[in-house]
Amino acid sequence: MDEWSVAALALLAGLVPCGVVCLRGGPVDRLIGLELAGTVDTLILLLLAQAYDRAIYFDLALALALLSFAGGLVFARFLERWI
Amino acid sequence: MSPRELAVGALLVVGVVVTLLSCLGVLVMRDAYDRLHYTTPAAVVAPVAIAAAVVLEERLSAAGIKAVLIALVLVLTNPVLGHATARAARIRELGQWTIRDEEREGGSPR
Repeated sequence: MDEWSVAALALLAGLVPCGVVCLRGGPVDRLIGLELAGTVDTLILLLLAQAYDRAIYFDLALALALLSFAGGLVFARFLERWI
Repeated sequence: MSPRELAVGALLVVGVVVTLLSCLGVLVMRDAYDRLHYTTPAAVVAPVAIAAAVVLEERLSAAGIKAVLIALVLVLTNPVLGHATARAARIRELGQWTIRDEEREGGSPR
């Protein structure tokens, strides 16, 4: 196992606090937990792409970064009034 | 161990430690506004450090350029997302997100 896989494994531990935040508190707190989990997931995919040494896998992290941004905006918009 | 490997390792450690600390910070804070502060280091410092590590390892190949692009996307979108979330929190709480009269000069915040 090289240093990239070790870093990706270490970042997996960071998803646990995000999950706990998603389970507690008000709707906005949960949304913040989800946004942070999206960022951490993007970093994990970035590290795994480098660990597997395939340039095409980086596209996955790029897609997740863009989609979690769009998803967060939609959630924030609906949390303003309707949920 | 060459200086380049050492730099890659150091950058990876910085990225991972900053991300884990900001996850802990989000968990520990009580308020949504307080929590929101801790999403920023994970989306600014960590991607830049990790992308720099990838570029050091791969040079500016396809992988290196994509890593830089991902870091750029995260750095640019995080402030927008933070603003939208804080705005949603304020509208839920107060009905409007702009500054209210009692929050102007001399008024108590929030």
